[in-house]
Amino acid sequence: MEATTHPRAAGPMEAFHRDPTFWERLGAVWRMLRRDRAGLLGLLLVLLVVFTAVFAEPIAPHDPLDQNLRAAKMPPAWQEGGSWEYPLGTDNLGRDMFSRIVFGSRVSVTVGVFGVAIALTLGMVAGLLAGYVGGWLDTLLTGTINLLLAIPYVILVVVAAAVLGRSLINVILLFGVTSSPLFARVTRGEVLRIRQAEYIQAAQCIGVPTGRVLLRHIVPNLIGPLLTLATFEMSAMIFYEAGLSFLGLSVPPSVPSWGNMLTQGRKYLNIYPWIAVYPGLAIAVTALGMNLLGDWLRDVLDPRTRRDR
Amino acid sequence: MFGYLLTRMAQSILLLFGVVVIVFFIIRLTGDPASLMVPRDASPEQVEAFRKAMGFDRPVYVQFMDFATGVLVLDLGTSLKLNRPNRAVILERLPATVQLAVAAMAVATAIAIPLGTLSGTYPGSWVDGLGRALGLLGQVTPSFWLAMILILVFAVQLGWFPSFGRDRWISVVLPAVALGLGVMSQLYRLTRAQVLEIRTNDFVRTARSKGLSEVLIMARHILPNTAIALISVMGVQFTYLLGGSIYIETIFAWPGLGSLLDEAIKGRDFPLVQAITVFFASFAILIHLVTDLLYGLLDPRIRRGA
Amino acid sequence: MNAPHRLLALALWAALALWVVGCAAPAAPGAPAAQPPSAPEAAGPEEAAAPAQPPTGPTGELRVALSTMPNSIYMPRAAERNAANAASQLYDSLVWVDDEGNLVPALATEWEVSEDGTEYIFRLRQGVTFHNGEPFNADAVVFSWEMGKDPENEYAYIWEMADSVEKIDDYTVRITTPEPNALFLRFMAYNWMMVPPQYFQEVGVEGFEQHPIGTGPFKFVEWKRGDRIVYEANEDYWREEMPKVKTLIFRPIPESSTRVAAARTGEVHIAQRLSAEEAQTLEDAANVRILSYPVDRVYYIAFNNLTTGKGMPTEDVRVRLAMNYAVDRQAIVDALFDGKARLSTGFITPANLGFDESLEPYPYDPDRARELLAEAGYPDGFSIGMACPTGAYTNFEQVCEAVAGYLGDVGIQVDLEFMESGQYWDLEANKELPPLFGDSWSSALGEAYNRLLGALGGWDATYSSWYDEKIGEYLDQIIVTIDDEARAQLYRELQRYMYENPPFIYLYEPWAFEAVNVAVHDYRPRAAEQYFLMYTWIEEP
Repeated sequence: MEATTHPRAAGPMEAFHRDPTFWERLGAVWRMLRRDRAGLLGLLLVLLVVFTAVFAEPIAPHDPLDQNLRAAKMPPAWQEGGSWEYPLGTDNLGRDMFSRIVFGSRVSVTVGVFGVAIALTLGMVAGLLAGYVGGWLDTLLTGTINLLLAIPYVILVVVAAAVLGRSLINVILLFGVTSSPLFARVTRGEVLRIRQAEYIQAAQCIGVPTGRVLLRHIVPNLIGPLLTLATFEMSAMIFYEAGLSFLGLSVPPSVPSWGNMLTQGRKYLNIYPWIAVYPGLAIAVTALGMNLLGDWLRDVLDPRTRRDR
Repeated sequence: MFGYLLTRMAQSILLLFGVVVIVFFIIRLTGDPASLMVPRDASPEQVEAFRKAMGFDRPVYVQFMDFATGVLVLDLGTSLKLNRPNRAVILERLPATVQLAVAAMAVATAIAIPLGTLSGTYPGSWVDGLGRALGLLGQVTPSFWLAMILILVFAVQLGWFPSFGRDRWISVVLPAVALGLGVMSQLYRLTRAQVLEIRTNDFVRTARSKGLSEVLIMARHILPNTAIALISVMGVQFTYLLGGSIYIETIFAWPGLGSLLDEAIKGRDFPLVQAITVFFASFAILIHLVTDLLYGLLDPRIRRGA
Repeated sequence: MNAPHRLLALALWAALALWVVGCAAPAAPGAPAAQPPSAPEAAGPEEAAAPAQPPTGPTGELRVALSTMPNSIYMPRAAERNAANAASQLYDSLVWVDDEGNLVPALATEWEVSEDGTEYIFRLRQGVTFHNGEPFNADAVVFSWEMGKDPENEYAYIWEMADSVEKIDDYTVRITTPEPNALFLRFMAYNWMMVPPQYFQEVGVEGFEQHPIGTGPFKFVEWKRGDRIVYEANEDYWREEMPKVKTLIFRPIPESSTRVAAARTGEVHIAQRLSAEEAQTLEDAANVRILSYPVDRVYYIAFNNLTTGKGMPTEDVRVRLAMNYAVDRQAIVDALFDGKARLSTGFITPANLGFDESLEPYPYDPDRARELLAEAGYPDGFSIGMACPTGAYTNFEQVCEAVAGYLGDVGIQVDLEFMESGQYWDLEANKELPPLFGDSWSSALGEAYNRLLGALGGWDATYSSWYDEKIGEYLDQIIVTIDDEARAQLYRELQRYMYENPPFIYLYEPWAFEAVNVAVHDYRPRAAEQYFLMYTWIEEP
């Protein structure tokens, strides 16, 4: 889950002699996806989680916050004492586990999507500036990036979360800011590499404005590596959210996030294991999906590792 | 080489200063801790007296200068709750954390490198399948969750290991496995990819065509090249282990820096939190420096290029 | 890359998870309320192991798990209960409170109080020595007081309760207080621990914290920070035939599920601060018995009439009564604590002096609540903010959610906000929390005075958000009433007043759950979760 999982400098699609258009890329992506069942599985799992998060209301049979103290600690439906009214059983307050897991996906997806969006925006802007403008700005930004990456990530996040207090916004901002250096570093590396390419230098020589060079030539080349990184980071954020919950530092305990459910359920592991096991499985399945998807994206978008099949 | 060394060291020191600034100001984002440190039935005057005694009434920049100049002379301030110098508190907990991190790294490499090499040599075989499954398992299992299951199964149900503490050498096994699993999966993937890549490289093909045995090719070409790649990431992975220790040490009551940090956060002992964070960051910077230099030694291209 | 290989990973994970489920499942389904862990007043250690006899001299090793890592075992700096418990085994005070709550002699054999209640004369026990051989005498008392009131000590204020401590002769001291203080001796019993002057001056306070010395039943051996504190029996202890264990080891284990595991494996003999569910998981463990007892700690939702709650409907006593009727405390306690908590009738608990047992908890009566709200002019309810701390108390987050839900049922829309406990108490101290907020307050003295003053002292008390003149008058009177019976009467009157004019939504007093190894005898924790291990003994295996 650390910096090294991310491709340090994944290359563009070198098969094209010019920059491929977006649709050409998409077509290539789809052809490769059909060939790779693991990637397809990953994509399906991710889509399933996103679908659940978006349509949580119609999917969930109960309100995730609805307590029914008389039906507390019921086992899953297929076990003795279970009922199909509560497919995955109920927690210690008699809330429906299934509905809570369904709504929990919303927290995870929100944290993942918005966290990555912030990280991506911040990181890309910083990386582009550093790589393209260069000079003292590059020194300053690279310094800051290295600085943030120097502090062990978990420590940085835990300490900052302890100071900020528990709220969804804080968690998203925290993850967004702390993982932006990764995106910045990848962006800067790519920009520096592409800048050397002859066609970019040619474009600059004939006086194409900087903004257009960036937009037309450099940004499209960044999509691949950044998309791969974004997928892995999203799965990492879902993980770290659970970790912060465990230390009592993530979203408020009343929010049905998987991390909170796991943390609150752990004391029942011995006697009412389902209260803790299913949120754990939800995290694992989501992480699995995103990792499969990320692996596959990297294989597809980075020709250097594609060789391994 | 000497110039490279100097540049890297200067960079590290600059980085350290940045870390000091960041850590100090992150922690000042919150209010002042004085009211929390006194007993609940203390009066406002007592709170005020305490605030004065601890120096929280001074302007922030004065407190910062105090802290920063302290770090320069390796003085990390005094813990609020423990009434002792933070440096002493940290140093007495350090060996446990280092031991755990080294053990976790040992577990990770002991599994990852042989398995990764086999996987890379025989892609598609059952060993490869097992390896990949294990690698993925490490990626999708939260370490704190694994830790609890390990205690439940191997300490309580089977009784093979102690459930907590650092009493005997055997105590380190469960926490090391819980902490090392994530790193294991990273190292496994890297080893496998490296072996796969090098195996198809030209010089290996040449060696093979010269009739060198597979064992010799492995020993002379594949493993040394893989080792260089591994060393370059082990530093980062070690830092990751330091971070992960906050969960694992708390669960296993392991008397290291991770559990100390958790304790300090819960007790709002901010001077101590600050000191531990700076310490962890410096430790990480140091490890990066060492791995960089090691890498430079092993890979002559870097030495000359710099 | 083929998917089946990768699916194997998921399968392995699932198998592990299911194994855990499977291991536990047979006992679990639908049997949440099978049996209470033990009888309410389960302290009686003799019941199971009749044949075992206490040893004649100190023998065996007793291992006690602590739920936090002690910050110090020098009493004026021992920040919370765990640290104080570990520390107090090393020292003695001049007086002691016995298991029945009576003040009894300790290092003082007798004492007199002056007519006006501000001057105490103590006669000290002769022939007592500190662990290092220094004699205990009047100089030690004077010195301990001087060190104790060092403003850097967290508990300096308890030593500052005395104006002066003077030596009259080697074995007589005079202590004066600025005003009569009915609780002075109790504070002294739990906090004024005597230290040896010569040694303390030699090593300084830092050195003393590294290696403390007292007159107590146990002698300090070593402290491996974060790992263990080791004591051994003081063979020359002035109390006869005590202590009864040779070695006493404290192990800090912050994670409660790990404490449960360690109790089950026998790695520790005593594990405190477990939840009802965790205790339940230990029912089938033959080597562990569950000890449960009501704790002297009241959980409540506070109202505010000092800052944020000014002008809110909650200033009307009918609204506050309505809110007390609206919450189904019994259901909360049943669901979250397996029924193991006492419903509070006020701020004075059964363990306190002057507890009035004739008061019944407010019944759950939402209709009556709605009537009262209508009477007060809020037939459609109102909206109000509420806050609760997280990570501070067992299941308290869920309690707060449940309370908010019940208030919603009678039309009071609660905007519930959770905060990390450190930040929470910061705001509470600054009186910046919303008009409703949850918290709890314990009392270590066997009297509720501290809790009452702390929560109801108005602007003079750091964590108070309520002031009521009548309550203030009672409190002023209680503290100067030295006579126990008269003070008890005042407490009873105050309790009745606070029942009719509730400054809180009273919630519950929880039970403590502890796992104790069956080999351990005469372990008697008190309602404030304090324990003295000098009479505890352990069967040799």
